[in-house]
Amino acid sequence: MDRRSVLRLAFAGGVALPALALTGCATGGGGSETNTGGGAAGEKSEKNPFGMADSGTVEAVIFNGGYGFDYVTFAADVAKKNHSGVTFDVKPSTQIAQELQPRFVGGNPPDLIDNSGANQIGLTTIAEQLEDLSDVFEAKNLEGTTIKDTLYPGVEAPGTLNGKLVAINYVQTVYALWYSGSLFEQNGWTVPKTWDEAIALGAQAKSKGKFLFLWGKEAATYYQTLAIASAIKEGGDEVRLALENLEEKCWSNPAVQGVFKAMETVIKNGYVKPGGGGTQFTAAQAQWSNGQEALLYPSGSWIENEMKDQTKDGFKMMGAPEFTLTGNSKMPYEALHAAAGEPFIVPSKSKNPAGGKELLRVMLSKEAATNFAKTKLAPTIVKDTVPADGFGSTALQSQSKMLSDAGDNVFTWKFVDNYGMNQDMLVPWNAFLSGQIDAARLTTQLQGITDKVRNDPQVKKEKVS
Amino acid sequence: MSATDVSARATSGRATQSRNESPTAGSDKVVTVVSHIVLTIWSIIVILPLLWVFLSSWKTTREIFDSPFALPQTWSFDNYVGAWTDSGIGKYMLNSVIVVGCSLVLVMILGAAAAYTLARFTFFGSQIVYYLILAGLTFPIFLAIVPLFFVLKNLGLLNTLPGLIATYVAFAFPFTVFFLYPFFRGLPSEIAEAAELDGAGEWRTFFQVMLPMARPGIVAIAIFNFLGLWNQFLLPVALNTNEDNYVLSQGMARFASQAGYAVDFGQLFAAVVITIVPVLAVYIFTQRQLQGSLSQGTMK
Amino acid sequence: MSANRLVFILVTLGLPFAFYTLFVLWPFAQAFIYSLTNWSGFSPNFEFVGLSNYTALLQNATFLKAVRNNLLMAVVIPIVTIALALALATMVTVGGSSTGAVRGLSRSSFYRIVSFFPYTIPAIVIGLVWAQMFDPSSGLINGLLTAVGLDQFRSFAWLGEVSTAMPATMFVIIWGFVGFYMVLFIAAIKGIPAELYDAARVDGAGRLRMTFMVTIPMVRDTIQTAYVYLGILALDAFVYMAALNPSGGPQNSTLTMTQDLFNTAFKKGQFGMASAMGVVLAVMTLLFAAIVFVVIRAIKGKDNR
Repeated sequence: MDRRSVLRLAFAGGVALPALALTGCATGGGGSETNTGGGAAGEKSEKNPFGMADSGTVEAVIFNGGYGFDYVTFAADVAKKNHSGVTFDVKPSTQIAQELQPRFVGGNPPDLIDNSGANQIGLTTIAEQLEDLSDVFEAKNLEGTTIKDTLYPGVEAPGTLNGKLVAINYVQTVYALWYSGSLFEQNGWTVPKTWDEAIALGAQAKSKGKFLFLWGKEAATYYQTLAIASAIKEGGDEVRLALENLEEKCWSNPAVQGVFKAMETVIKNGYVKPGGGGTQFTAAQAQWSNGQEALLYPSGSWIENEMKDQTKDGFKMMGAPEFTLTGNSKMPYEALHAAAGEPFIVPSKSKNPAGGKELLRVMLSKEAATNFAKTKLAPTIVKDTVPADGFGSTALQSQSKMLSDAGDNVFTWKFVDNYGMNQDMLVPWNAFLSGQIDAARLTTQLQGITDKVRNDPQVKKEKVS
Repeated sequence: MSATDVSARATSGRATQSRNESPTAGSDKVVTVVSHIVLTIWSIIVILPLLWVFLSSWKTTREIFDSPFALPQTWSFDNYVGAWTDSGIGKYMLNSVIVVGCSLVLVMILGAAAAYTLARFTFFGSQIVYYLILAGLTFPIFLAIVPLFFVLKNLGLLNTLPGLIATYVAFAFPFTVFFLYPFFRGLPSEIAEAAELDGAGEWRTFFQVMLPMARPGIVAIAIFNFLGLWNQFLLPVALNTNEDNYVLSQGMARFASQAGYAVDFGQLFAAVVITIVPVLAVYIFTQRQLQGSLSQGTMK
Repeated sequence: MSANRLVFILVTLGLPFAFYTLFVLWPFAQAFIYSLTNWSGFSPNFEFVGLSNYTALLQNATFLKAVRNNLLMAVVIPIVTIALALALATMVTVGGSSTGAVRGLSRSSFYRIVSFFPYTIPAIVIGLVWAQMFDPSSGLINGLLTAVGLDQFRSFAWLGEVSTAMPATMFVIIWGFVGFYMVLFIAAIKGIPAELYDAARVDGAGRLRMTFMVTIPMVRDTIQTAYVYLGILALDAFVYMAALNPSGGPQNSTLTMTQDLFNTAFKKGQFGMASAMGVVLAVMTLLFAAIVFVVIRAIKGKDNR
């Protein structure tokens, strides 16, 4: 419970918005310079855009998961060069919610938090207590460029809640189907682009004694991520909006149903390795990356780093976009499900919110962002920090390629995460993947979970458009 | 009388009892054989998983996945070194020893004193106090976690070892009182009265006369409490989130974590072995005394 | 009451009780108050919502499922553990080849020591070990079953099938406790006066009858304590679940109230609701203990003990 939650990260998604609207959103949200927090304010200037006091302390609590926390320490050291009078105190934590909960209630939260991991704080619960961070995007980075001009499109979407940018998600994550480049090459397989091709590949895999997919019990909803992405590519934005707004019968949309039916065929044909419902997901993933018992694994791009000790030599991990249902889908096959993860927040009631923002600004500058990409083999939301050779990683290379091929066709969603539904959704997905229930029952159960949230007056809803 | 005396008595008592009388039915033999078979099967069920864990602890993670039932290819200490240092099991074990040791001493003193007073004196409200303490036995710790948070925070003890010790003591307290109470009740009150007539004050009567007499019970409860506290999981997970102060069960929980990140199964098994061995060793060396204390301690 | 005695009572009982009140009773009282609010757990303020959390729980299918799971565990785990522990203890103590008073089995201390092993292992570690044992592909259970030719167990997900997840989970908990109660029962049985067995034998009682006529009545107090403790444990069971099936098991078949409470509090940010769950759990635990005490007392009364 104190480890990095790849599962939560899987859904730390954002709203899918066309790039145009995104830029508009960032501009619209900009310009709020109010420093609502306590603490002495310093002079605002180009080098100190948030008016951080030139003495005192900046306290950052960083989720200590797969990315560690040394990248923030790195940024703090850089910041220290410009603000020698300020002490930067970067602390790791593995249980954000439990540790910070009393500090939020007591009104003395830290100045910067990486709100990530299995025990992250639900954003909707604390949104009102957080700073609007759009002024960070409006500020210039250490190199003098306005930060928002240096970022991938759509990065503010995941942290935007009812029009307020409450969190800056720092790490760019691509959701894809991952496979062994060498295994595919040896067998002359090509990566399927539609579910029909996937089913055909499943038959070929079976003849070699392999499976098309496998899963682990805590990560069964990775297949929901795959299904939703496929359905959105197939049916377009209306599919996404129906789900995001928890509409009635949103799971009965023809595109969603088409994908579920295809999955049902895959499962019925025995192309999914049985027993996943009783397998720890890391063990299951090792059966894919080390045992090569299955061909494809749907996951976020953290998978390479996560499995680096349990990947077969010469595996050549590569990623491909999630399948479409048919050849004439509303979005092109290259359309990509990508979202920024690792949400950084600045509580308004902290002692030094300007300091928290200043540290974020340094993190978003070239030096710190490049350091992150290089040491963690994952790109931040800052563009152009990964060289063509992907620091020697085939997965990172293919990730860069997928992002450039997709262009503006990048989308994501966040209802699962926003309303904390993953836990409940794991149940029908495990049942479905192990063949205990069919597509129809899966639909009914997912709809039930969705309806329950919609009808719960205690849950604050976010209208997505 | 010491615990050794007790166990010696228990065994010698057994010896005199187990004299052969009239060897009657041949069905005895059947019973014996069946008993041996059943007990052997149960012993295998107990030992096999532990043996498998022990073997796996010498394998690399890759070996564990590739050939889970084979002997390790090489007997390397890598997993143990890794678990002890990288995964911090060594540090967590030290914390556990400190926390459990201090809590145990404190709760036995407080619990014994409270149980003695409740058992020996009747005064206004003593029944209510007794039942309030009993009620604590049935409350799920879960319910108290959040408010407990703030109690510790206000005392400045959140995420500290002393804070954890205080909580451990408080939550082991009802159990201790519940079991020691009948013990002190069972002691003849004439002894205490005689001691007082001799001029011993309340304190001397308690410490020098009554407490030694309850010793078998205290040893038994201390053993219960030790295992209970050593196993404590929820309290540290929720109230002790500073990684430097982790106790063993928390360290182990990291491996179980549902969102485990890059779990190293070789190290996991090594950590399990490291966790089991010390307590198991202590148990094997002290099991005679334990058995004696248990028979004496639970007879009340 | 003399002043001396008053001071003694205040120090020996007052002090620990004050401490206990602060750390145990007061938090529980607060939790009850929170259960009447809509507190999210993070905001400094909240509103009182009366009993609406409780009425919502009554309609919460997931929570009710968890309640049913806990009840099943509270019935099955103590009965099986005690029956098994008592059977093994009886075999160790009176399974010997003699018709003497009580004759221990040879090698009995070996069985006793080995059976106690699991109790020395932290619960979380027991869960971890068995999670690996039950692993469909690399777990020892399926490894052994397929090795003896039972091929249907290849990749069988013990913790992932509705029909086996709960029994497998309960087995793990039982595995962890049988040895401890076995040792406890051995101690109790050895304390039974030999004359009782002699008398029973004179009456011509066989071994089985002796167990029911002499052993069980004489260790009833131990059984009662064991039942209450195992029951309370089964109503919690969070630790085991955290290791075996943190997400509630297939179709929520192993979801417990404590897991639901934890998710509601920390993942869904509904501390008021979670506190209400805790109160329900506390009430159930108290009821359970009360029922056991009443039942045992009723049986005792009948026996005039």
